[in-house]
Amino acid sequence: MSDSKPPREQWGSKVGAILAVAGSAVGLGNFLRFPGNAAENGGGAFMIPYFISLVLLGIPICWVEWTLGREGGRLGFNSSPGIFYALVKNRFVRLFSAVAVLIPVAIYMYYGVIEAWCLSYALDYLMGRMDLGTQVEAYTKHFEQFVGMDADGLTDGTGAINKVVFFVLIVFVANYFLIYKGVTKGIERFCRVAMPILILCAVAVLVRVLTLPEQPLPEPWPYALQEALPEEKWGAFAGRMDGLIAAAEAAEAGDPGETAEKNAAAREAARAAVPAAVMAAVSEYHRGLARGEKGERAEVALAAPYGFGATYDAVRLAWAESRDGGAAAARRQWVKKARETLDHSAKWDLMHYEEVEKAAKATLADAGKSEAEHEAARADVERAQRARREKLETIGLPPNVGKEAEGDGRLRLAAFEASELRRTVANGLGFMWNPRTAKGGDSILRALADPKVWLAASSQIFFSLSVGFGIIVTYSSYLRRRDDVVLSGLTAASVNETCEVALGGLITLPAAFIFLGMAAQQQLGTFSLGFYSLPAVFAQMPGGRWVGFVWYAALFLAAITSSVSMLQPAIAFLEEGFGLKRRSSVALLGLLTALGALMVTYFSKGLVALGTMDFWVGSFFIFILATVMVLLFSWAVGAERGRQLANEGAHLKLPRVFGFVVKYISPLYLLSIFVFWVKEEALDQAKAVMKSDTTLFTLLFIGLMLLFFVVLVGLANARWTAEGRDPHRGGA
Amino acid sequence: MTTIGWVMMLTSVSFVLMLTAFCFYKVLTTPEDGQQIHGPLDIEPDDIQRDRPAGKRS
Repeated sequence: MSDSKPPREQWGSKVGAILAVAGSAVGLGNFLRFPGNAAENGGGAFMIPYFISLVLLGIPICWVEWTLGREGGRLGFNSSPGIFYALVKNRFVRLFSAVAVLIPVAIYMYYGVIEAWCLSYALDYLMGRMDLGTQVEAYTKHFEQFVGMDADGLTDGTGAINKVVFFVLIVFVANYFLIYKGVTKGIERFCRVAMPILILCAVAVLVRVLTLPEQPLPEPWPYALQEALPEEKWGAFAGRMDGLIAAAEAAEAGDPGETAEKNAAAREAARAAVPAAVMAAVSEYHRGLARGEKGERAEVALAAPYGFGATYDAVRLAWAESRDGGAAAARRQWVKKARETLDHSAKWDLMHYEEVEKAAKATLADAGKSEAEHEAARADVERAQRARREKLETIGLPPNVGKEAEGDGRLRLAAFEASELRRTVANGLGFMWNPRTAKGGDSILRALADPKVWLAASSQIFFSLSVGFGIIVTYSSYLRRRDDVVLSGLTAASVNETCEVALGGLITLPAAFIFLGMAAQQQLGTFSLGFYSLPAVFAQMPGGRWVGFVWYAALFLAAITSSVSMLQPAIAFLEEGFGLKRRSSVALLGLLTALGALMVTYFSKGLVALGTMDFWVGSFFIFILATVMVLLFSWAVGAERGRQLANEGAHLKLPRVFGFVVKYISPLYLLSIFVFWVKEEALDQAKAVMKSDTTLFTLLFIGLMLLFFVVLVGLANARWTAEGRDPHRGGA
Repeated sequence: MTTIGWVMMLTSVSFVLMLTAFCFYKVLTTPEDGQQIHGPLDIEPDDIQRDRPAGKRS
């Protein structure tokens, strides 16, 4: 413990502080979560609630945190518990600040692991070790093996320590080195270099993506595969397919000597073998090309079937049609005509009807759903089928589908093939930015009528700006007494928005679309987009190895500028709460976070531990903390006084309406999101807790950590009171 | 890409770029406040400072 107080740490410059806060906010969410979220929730229409949320929620809460942090710094505190201690008298609210220490520490435990994946991918690209062919499935398998998604443990299939453990170790050393060096010589110096490099890397990838030539549109797979394979391979494949389909049809009838369960299992296995054979043939073709084998024709645009096209029914239909010479030629002509005739939104609608029908059929198959839900699902199926038929009738039905055709599978397959858009940069941008609605069509107003779009947009703003993480409040406590929090907060938020909208929004999905086509729609999740789809995209892109390296290096930089910020709140708390020196605080926090990261890395099966921590800490707790911060600012400090505090030293003055927004609009907005979020997601997650031991264990770990921090905050509060630092008793 | 798609994209991207340009213009053209007390770039946690050789101390 120190007797004499060292000079309090401060940022070296305004720009340094802004880049550090922006670096904290810019992360994987900007480049991977935002594009998928926008595309799934209205495309361009998503941006209207997105910007409204930015103005009413994101930026006001940023200003709240910047102001509270600087005020705490003026009173001599840098950590959230210290700042809460200085600003409020209530013991329980002071103890609640333990959540503001827990959040960044717990998020660091899994974020550091994801950061390690990015570093590993960047190095693999640099060394040329990521050439696994052009199929998304190959990269999916690679990722699952790499992170150990098949089984818990720290070893790979051969019994050796998993490679990911070493990368987690490297990431830990890098982060703690920066933290050890301090706010100015560690974090600020690093962010001043890393942020411009990150933006330059992203701009380089953006230029590559926007200058890509149009990629050929693949023909339906049975025709393309026949052209692509050498004759003997095609013959062997055709024989295998005929045999598998015959076996599946035989299995449909069942064996009267077997039980119903065994017959059902045999039927499922026989049906699954049919599309699996097609996938294997396509993968084998791409592997053959990569190995430079003679016979495979590289100029054929061949893509594996996906979505409905990859089901047993669709594969069987497509195969039957391709084996029927005259009908096959007529159908090929129809597909070509349909692709040329249907406009962009008509193709989107065709894809959408497939999604509606799939979801409705899943509801119908769920015995736990009510009769009313089943009734609504039946209506959805009928509506989707009717709409699909009407859309295709505008260009004439396919040759083998009559007006009253039985067998809707033919119509679905035709719709699937007709809905392929040309793979140009413009259509790739359209894939991300064209407004569309959950009910089909491209009306912006209809998209905005869907509450899910609002929930997704406001959540994106919320998570992206790192509000409610307890980080901004700590970072801004290192500002000088009259540093401008209004302009600095707005600038940091605008850098984050530029990375998200102008870089993430123009790179990720357009690139995925140009090489994967509409199949990219199947991979819109953060991990699937970042670690399944994009490697397959880089594999097909000219200079893809180097573009892949630059891309994952940028993601690593985005991740490390965020992860290092997650450590500072706890370091600040340990040092000012208990008088620890930097070496001791780094050692203690290093031990705790290593324990958490070890748990996340060990319980890797299905990424359950990571997902549980992300959900409960990275979503639930940050909603709560942000709400408490806003209430603290607007009701405990007072909205008008808070506005005056924010305006001290500000070159851009906050208007009076800010007080109204932060007192009424932001809390109500937060409450609405929270209610929707609980209804849409939290209840399902809560039910999942009892189903998995790993989930329960992870929650227990989070609970123990929270308890640990509550005790520490209690002890620190007692210490500050004994030192006479309580401003509510005339201290500070 | 549809016309409304272009409009949404160009509006969104222009908005964030202009906001960022405006903010950085203001930050870089506004003089820093003079109330700097500690010479922040030189401040390190004191146990790290103590570890340095005397000549290198900041």
